[in-house]
Amino acid sequence: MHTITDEQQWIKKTGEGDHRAFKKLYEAHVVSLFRFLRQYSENTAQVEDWVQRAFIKAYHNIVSFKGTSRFSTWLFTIALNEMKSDFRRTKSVILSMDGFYEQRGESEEEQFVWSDSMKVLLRELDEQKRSVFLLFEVEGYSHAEIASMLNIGENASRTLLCRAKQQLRTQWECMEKAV
Amino acid sequence: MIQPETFYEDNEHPGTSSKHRMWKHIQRETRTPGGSVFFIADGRSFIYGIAAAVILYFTSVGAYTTIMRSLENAKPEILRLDEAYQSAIEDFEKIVPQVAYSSATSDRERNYLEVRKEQLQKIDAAITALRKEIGGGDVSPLARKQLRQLYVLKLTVLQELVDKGEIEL
Repeated sequence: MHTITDEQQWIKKTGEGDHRAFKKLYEAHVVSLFRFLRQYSENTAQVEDWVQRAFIKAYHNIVSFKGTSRFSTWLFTIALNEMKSDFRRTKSVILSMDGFYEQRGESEEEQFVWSDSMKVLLRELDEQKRSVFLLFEVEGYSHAEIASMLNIGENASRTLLCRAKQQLRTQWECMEKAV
Repeated sequence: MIQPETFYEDNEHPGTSSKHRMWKHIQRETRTPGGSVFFIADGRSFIYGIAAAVILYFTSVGAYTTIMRSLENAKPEILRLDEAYQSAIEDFEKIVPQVAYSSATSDRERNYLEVRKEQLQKIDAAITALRKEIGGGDVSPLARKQLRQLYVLKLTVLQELVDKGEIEL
């Protein structure tokens, strides 16, 4: 484990061109980033490509990182943008769900209990719901951080999480009944 | 919150070879173009700086030597002759005091030395007066001749003193 001070030092030194410091940053974040991105693709080569592109962009733009957020938040944002740009190539229409979800309630959130068998259903969720669910429930980011990463409002993040849980619960109940 | 350790399965983590492969690619993309170019530029600048300093040093030495030679050559002949005589006389004068103390044993010899010393003082006074006149280098042939004669006379007196002293040179 590394401390925030360690990470600040590595970021500073990376900005000065120190590759050993950059490798420390890589080692500290590669696993969490990889396993997160792995939830969007079964293709390991594709996930590796997103990880590489995220780190390369982070290196070249590290001087623009002001330290107002966690480094991992910034890195995940870059990785998500890389991933989205690949998805955009395959999807012709991208709909902003921000306005739509802001009006939704959050009642589902309290009733939700995670089960390991729900994981297969997670892949059925659309990209944004999956992202919000993983980032909030698994990676432990706040709605404010998620909003910044996904370029949506905080309310939209809450609503997307609520919808994701609702969808997971409904599908899981159907699956359980079938079994 | 779901614990990441229980949520993510082992096959969803990057293996050692995967991490190594990704790092190699990242390193290639970040280090090669930026780092080495910067280093070469920096190294080149350093070498150019050293080379420029060496060239500047030799140029300065060369220029200084050339200027000094030019100034030396630009001096009028009379001044160069004056300097040559002065140099010769100074060398003689260095050994004359030794001659005076070591060889002046009798009154007669002491008197002889005193007379010669007075002669030398008079010659020196005449030389000084003439040198003031030719300070600008523009002198008449007569003054030039007189100066040469005075130097010759002084050298003769000095030579005589050295000879009388029977000193080993």
